[in-house]
Amino acid sequence: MPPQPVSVGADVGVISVKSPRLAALTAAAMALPGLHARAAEPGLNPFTVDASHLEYFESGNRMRVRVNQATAIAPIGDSTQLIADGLQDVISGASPINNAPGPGGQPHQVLTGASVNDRRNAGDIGASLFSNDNQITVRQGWSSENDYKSTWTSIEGRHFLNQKDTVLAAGFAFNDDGVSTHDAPDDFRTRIKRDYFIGVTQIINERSLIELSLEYSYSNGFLSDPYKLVFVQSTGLLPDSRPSERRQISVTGKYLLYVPPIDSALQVIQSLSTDNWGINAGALEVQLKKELPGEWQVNAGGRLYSQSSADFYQVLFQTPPADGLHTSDYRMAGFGSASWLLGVTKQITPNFSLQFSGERTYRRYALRSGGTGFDGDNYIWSFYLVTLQAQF
Amino acid sequence: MGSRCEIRIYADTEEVATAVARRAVADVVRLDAKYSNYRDDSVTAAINRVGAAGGTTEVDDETASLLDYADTCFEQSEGLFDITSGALRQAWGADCKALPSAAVLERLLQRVGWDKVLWSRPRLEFSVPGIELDFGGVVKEYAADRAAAICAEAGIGHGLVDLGGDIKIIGPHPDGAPWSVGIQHPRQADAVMATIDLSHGAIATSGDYERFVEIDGKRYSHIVSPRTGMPVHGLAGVSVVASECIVAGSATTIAMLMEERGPAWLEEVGLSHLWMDQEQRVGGMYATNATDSLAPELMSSPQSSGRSTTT
Amino acid sequence: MRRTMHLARCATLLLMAALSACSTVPPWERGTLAKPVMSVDPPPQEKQQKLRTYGAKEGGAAATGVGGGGCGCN
Repeated sequence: MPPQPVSVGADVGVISVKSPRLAALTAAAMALPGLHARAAEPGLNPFTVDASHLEYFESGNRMRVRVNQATAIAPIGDSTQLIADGLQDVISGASPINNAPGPGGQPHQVLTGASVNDRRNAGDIGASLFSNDNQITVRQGWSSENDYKSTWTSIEGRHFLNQKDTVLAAGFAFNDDGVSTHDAPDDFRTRIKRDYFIGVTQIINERSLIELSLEYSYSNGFLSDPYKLVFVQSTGLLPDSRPSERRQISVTGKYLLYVPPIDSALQVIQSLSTDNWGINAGALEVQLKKELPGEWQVNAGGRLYSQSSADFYQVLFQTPPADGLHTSDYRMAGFGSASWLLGVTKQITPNFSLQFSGERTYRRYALRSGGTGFDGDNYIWSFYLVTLQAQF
Repeated sequence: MGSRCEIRIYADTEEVATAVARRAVADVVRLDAKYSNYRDDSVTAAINRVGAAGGTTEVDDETASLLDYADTCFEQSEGLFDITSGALRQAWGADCKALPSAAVLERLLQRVGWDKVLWSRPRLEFSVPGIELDFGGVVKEYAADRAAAICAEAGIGHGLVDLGGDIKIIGPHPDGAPWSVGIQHPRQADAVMATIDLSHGAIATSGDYERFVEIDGKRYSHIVSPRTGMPVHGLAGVSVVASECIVAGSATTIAMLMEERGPAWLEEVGLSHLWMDQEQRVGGMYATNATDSLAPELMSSPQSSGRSTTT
Repeated sequence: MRRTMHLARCATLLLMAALSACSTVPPWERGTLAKPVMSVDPPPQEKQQKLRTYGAKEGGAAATGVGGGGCGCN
């Protein structure tokens, strides 16, 4: 038999195989586990501890939050993993209570005095079970502060197909919250929330993948903000009053593409959401992530967000609405935002890495997608997060 | 593994290189222990205990994939590559003083044969008692591939893993220069038969000069045919270049088992290879591209009967 | 509700399109996918903080139902 031409690729990669014998041997070899640098395969993590500090602040004397958080992930045996997380955050500074008409007819925001100083403690524990094609994770969490208590439970399952090229995920979370106020801290009004999500992650080819997810949440109970008021021309200030049910649905798509000429990964995240309160929102985030020599990684990008106002939102009310629903909360208004994001990670030793990330968002009435609002609500929020991770 | 093992990697700092190399070596040690023919706690020993009674057992994922691979080799070698030939080691061990008799071999051969095993992942069923599996023909090369993958996963882009002559390249030298691998001359201890430049992929070498027993002044190779029970006597040495070390390694083993049909089989497989027979004739086949090449020595040797194919 | 149905239908179509366009990537070509930059999610703590912030400052649904309870941030 005359020799057949074979080209052995320069990469541990494209082999054009003409011989059936070689094809059979190669295929069987490729099925061996751990033979190639794997994509971040789902599975047990090494023992990992993360500690982080976050500084969040808003422009114009508004609120400031500091968060300290620690997470530990411990593999137990071959197929189990435990996770424990604890955090404490401290909020200080002023926040808006209501809008009010100003001189010359221009409404403005009224802020609380900069006296709010709240400490919140939260934690959760969870466990994951792994099998060849499946992963299931359950978590239980608690959060407690002076005027807000919450417990939540979640369960999430993942199923792997196509040699882990496809991941199907589904999850459910249940939140049980109690909301009170500083003035009457023990007078809790309750609400519950049920979240459902399904998603699929699919590796498209050797350089790109896509993730799609659908989420539905149902909230019931006291959904208003006890610290907010609305200004009604005819009767004065009334408390914030929102429907006792909220149904939200959202769809998110994430696309990741490695671009060889610039040796970087391009990430695009698009999400759309709508609810029965009339708030329709969309977000688009684009980031470029690049590895640099010396085990550095940088990522930079931007995000655009836009929403319409809630049906029962007004900047100022003339008369009390007939259905008793009214809010002037700046988060229920029509507005949009533009953000830039930046991140830097450095692998200090094979076990330790340090990560810094920052985001600055310009919230602007002009970027709204519908409804009403006003420029008096505009502000800038920023956060800086430093995380130290140890892996063994 | 019974032979010299070396991992050579380039990294930004010595600490990184040491840490990564240590992880890779740990995996080589793990595989050596897991499939050892000499340890009671190895997976091989556990399987063979079941095999001794002719029973059924289930194996883990890694072992299952290796058995699938061995099954493929069995098919592609017309039944000559056979991991159930463990029982034959009794006749041809290193302390063997005399030729085993035909009766002894006959008895041992009844306990040899992959066709006597029902393999249906993950179940391994022995239809005949006394069969012994021997993973020696695949584990060393698999370990080389895995060690290289561990280094690559850790971010190492340049280096190689050399387990007793079975080599898997992680990447060329940082300046892009390939690694120069010298192939031992099968009959001249301090000579090189050829030098092969590799930037990627793997190369494995087998020969009758590596491990052998000497009986009455005659050398008997460590590669034993599962058909006759006798050591093979064909090629003196063969080297194969492939993308994976396990493929290169099994190709060399099968070429040796094929004896005088080895060269034809290698051509059918289509991998770059180089062989020398008992008369010290040299032959082979190579493909050239920008980064891989067999050295010109092959072409210039007067005894060369090599053919070349260029793509 | 009509808007909800429209979104759900869009999502399903995109899903089907994505799944049908793909075939399995052979293991020896997965080196690029193994790069750390090729993970869609940031590390868990950062992801949590980001989502909590978006949830507290925006009216749209903060994606990912996994609890976190949320603070009563105002």
